[in-house]
Amino acid sequence: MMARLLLVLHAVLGFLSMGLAVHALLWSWQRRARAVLFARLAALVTVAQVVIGLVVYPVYRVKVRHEIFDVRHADGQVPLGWLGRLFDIKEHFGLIGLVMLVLAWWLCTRGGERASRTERAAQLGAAGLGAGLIWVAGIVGVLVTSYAGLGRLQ
Amino acid sequence: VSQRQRSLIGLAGLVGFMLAYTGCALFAWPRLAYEPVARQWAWVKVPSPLQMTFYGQILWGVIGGVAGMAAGWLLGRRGAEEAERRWLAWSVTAVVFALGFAAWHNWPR
Repeated sequence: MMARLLLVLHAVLGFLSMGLAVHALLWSWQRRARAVLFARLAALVTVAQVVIGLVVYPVYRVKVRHEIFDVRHADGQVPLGWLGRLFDIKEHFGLIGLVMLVLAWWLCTRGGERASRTERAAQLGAAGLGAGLIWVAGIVGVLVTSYAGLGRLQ
Repeated sequence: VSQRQRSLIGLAGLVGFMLAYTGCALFAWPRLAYEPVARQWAWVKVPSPLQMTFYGQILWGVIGGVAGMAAGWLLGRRGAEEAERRWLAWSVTAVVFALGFAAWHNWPR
């Protein structure tokens, strides 16, 4: 039961971080005053989201990956094995996305006024890649959960 | 800390994180792993199918990131914009390497 509640919270924070990451990118791009605020919020919400995901991860590994996705049928095929591998890619992309959002916050200056061209390119690149990776992770997460969230209902 | 030094610390930290995060999986460094059925932690080089090495991989990434930030702080004290551009190029390379390895290593077959 606790794992299901955490999974719902993980999803809610995921959608929030997807929105905040895009806000951080657009506000930084337009050199708006609240760019730092959105960059900070995007990074912190994504940290919370990833930490909750790491707490739920063992339940997924046993109840979903081991008991459903990696099950070998009589013909030797593992028909849902690709979902487990796709989920692993999503985990790595999500974590690298988090690192990019933290870097975007670290490099963000108020209005971008003191940043050189290189610093601005680095900040926008980090914010853009972070947002893109968080979106990929979110969409793949929903896709995998549509097959099996936390295993069979108990 | 100047904006340039801050930038070099961040970019070097990113390079360190990506290299250690990917390197520990690529070269099978000993990693912290959790076995969720037995509920036991262990250091492993080659994990069993149930052992989760993701936590250990993140730990390696953090160690690499902190080491990279320290290097960036040292280098940033006399860093020019040229150094900043060089670290940005290395950052892009490291991120592409990490994303490429994650996708290639786990690609559904």
